[in-house]
Amino acid sequence: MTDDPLPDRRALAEGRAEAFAELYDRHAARMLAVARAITGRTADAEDAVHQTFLELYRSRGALASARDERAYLVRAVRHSALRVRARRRDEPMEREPATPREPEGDPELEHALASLPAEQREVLALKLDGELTFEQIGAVLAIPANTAASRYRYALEKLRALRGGGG
Amino acid sequence: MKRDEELEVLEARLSARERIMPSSALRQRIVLDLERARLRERLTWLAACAAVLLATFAMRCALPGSEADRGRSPVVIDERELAGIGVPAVEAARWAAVLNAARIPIAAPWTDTRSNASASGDRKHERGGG
Repeated sequence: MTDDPLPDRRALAEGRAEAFAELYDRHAARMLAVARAITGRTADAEDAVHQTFLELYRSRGALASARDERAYLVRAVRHSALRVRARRRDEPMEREPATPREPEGDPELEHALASLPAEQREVLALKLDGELTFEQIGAVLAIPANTAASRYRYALEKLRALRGGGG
Repeated sequence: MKRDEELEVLEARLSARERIMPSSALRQRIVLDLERARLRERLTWLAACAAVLLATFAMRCALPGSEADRGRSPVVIDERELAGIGVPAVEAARWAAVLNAARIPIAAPWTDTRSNASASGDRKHERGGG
């Protein structure tokens, strides 16, 4: 996908902070949404995005030559979010609140989402929050695009059933 | 409502969920950290350059044959010379390449016991005499 061209690639390759700030302005909302879907917490999502940008800086050569920047950034933030989530799990329980996910707009929908298998929830997040195509999701998760599409469909079907829409 | 329509409605509701607004505080934190990282990188690079130059200079001082080399610019260092002052053979070729790439023009000043004028005369002589 080339609808979101990267900011000046040379500036990114040179590690100029303003180029990364521009990248943040363009993609942070999407990255935060994906990270939030994975970690379940806004603070963790922000940590993940922060870590992602530091890693993007360290591997800026690869970033500057990325052909699909949206998928590249979503993939990067997914890795960071998974690490943040794993770290959170390793922390003592007293630091973890009783509810693992912060309540969002529609508690019923959030509850239904939380009950999905992780792989389906992840595909939903990448499709709806990351705004990726099934091809891009396939590339991010290293699965065929058809599998990504099936998981998405199963997730929607399951949500529909959980919300009493049939099943 | 048909099943497909239900799924579409559900999809729309999922898409319309409230999103976290990217905060300017996070943006500032990221920019600050990246500037710090860039500065750290530059300092590391400068330190590495200084270390190479210092090592080159020290190595050049330790090398034999400075009398013969004086006036040749740049001095070409043979890996055998390095081996002669104790540099392991496996490292000598690499070091010779580094030292020669640095193109040190003259031997260390304190190895030069002659006056500048004399050294200059030698160079003229070498150029003239071939």
